[in-house]
Amino acid sequence: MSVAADQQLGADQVAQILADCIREAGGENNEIVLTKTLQSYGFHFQNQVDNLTAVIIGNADFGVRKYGFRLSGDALNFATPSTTLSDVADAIQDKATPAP
Amino acid sequence: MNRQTVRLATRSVAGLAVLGLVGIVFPFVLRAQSDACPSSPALRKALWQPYRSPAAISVGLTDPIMLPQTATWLIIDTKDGSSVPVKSVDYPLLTGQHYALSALIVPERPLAVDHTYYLLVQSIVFEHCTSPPKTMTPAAVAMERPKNAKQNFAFSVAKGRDDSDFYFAPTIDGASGQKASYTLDTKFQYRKSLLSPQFGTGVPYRPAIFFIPGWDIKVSSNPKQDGNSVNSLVPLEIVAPVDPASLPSLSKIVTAVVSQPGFVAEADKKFHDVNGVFADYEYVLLHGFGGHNLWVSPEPTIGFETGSNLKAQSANSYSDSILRADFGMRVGLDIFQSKAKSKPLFSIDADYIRRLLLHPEPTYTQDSKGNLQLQSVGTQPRDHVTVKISYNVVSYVALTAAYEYGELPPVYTKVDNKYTFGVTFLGQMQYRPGSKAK
Repeated sequence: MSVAADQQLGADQVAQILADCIREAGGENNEIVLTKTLQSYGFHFQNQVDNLTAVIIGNADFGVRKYGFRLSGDALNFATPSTTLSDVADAIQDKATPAP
Repeated sequence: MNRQTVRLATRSVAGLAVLGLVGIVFPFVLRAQSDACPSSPALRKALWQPYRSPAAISVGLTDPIMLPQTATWLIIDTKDGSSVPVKSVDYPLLTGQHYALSALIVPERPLAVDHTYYLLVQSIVFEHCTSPPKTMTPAAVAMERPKNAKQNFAFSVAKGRDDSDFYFAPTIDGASGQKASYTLDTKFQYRKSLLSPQFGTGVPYRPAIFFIPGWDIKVSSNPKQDGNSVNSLVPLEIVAPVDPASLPSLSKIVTAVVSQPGFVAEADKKFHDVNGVFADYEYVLLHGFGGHNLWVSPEPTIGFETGSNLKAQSANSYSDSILRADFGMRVGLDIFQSKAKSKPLFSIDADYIRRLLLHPEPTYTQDSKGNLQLQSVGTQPRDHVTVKISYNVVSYVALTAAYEYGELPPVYTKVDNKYTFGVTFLGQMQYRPGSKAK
């Protein structure tokens, strides 16, 4: 998928990425509520969160790559079980850039 | 089965019984609570996307909405206070779901990049609500990516010690027959990505690799505080997600394997016994299970530790190198008060590890002055178990109760039924885009 350099992911795409990647990373398949924490979706330990961020960054079928975007490996380093989905969504939307 | 193993097994069974009781009782108590209408739903991150077809404002919603909706959207140009006519509104459903979490508002004419716009919505009804919220704060429409998206430092709340970049926890410890003692538990770590992950259909597989140096220190006024007080860490973390595209069956059970190899300096708190060890732990991340009120996250662990003693408390206590095979289990259990709550009411972390010593190592006791006394040298397995219960009072403060039993390297002084109660203040350094440090 080809996208221009100044493009950003839309809110609908970010929501879809979160829903898919939470499921793929083994989290609870609840409705996505952005004010909730990652722990609320079953990401109790830090390495579970690290797996979730790896899926968001690296999975070509469900992560940002699905839409032709990419994130640096450090882009979601801040995420912990107590991080809200809205913070993760913000970082995805603001930091994801079109893949060259 | 020796006496120690029997005692540990008895305590493990008792602990599991308590956890089981909590798991059985709480869901019934909490099930009475119905799905709540969100108290303060909001618009999030309105973004003008002229590159979409058709060009639209994309805006997020904090909470799900059901269709159909009869909401009215207004785009206000602050330059002259005029309203930009709305051509159409779409609420994209999440794939395979029955709800939407965003809206696409298509204006009659393109927005001007040098104008400032606000987006308002009226009469939107969120899931589990019978009427629209009384107020919805307008959202400013971003025309481009924030310039400081990758720069800002900010604080956010961490759940506990494991997920804090820095951690500071003073505690008062009490035990029968002992005076109260004071403990300071501190930790710092820095995290840097060495390799970005990549996997899925049509791309070569690559795990995520992080470099996470730091320290992990506990000091105490209690001479009988456990000997595993100082750990200097130079670890890597390798996150290897199980690719559903190539391993569909396995990925339904195991989501990833996380490896944490690294050099560890193990020392008692007076540095009388110091080991230099290379350790590698493999955490097998299993799919969690449970429901809306209770969620269980299991993580079996295997690993090994090898190295040598650098400084011994007693001569001839290390006849060979250090070689240990480890296995254990971490279980996280979260209990939620209601679906609307953003954080769990209670969290329980249980962590068990058994070290199988392949070469003999010493075991020490401590006298009343805190001096180490060699008790034995051998290869008997060394167990260690911790259970921690956290009650979240407010965002940055948690009340904690912890139980610890077992022996930790290098001196394996037994921590015998230690109970800890404390107030923990938590923080975490992070990059957060689009906001200044708070």
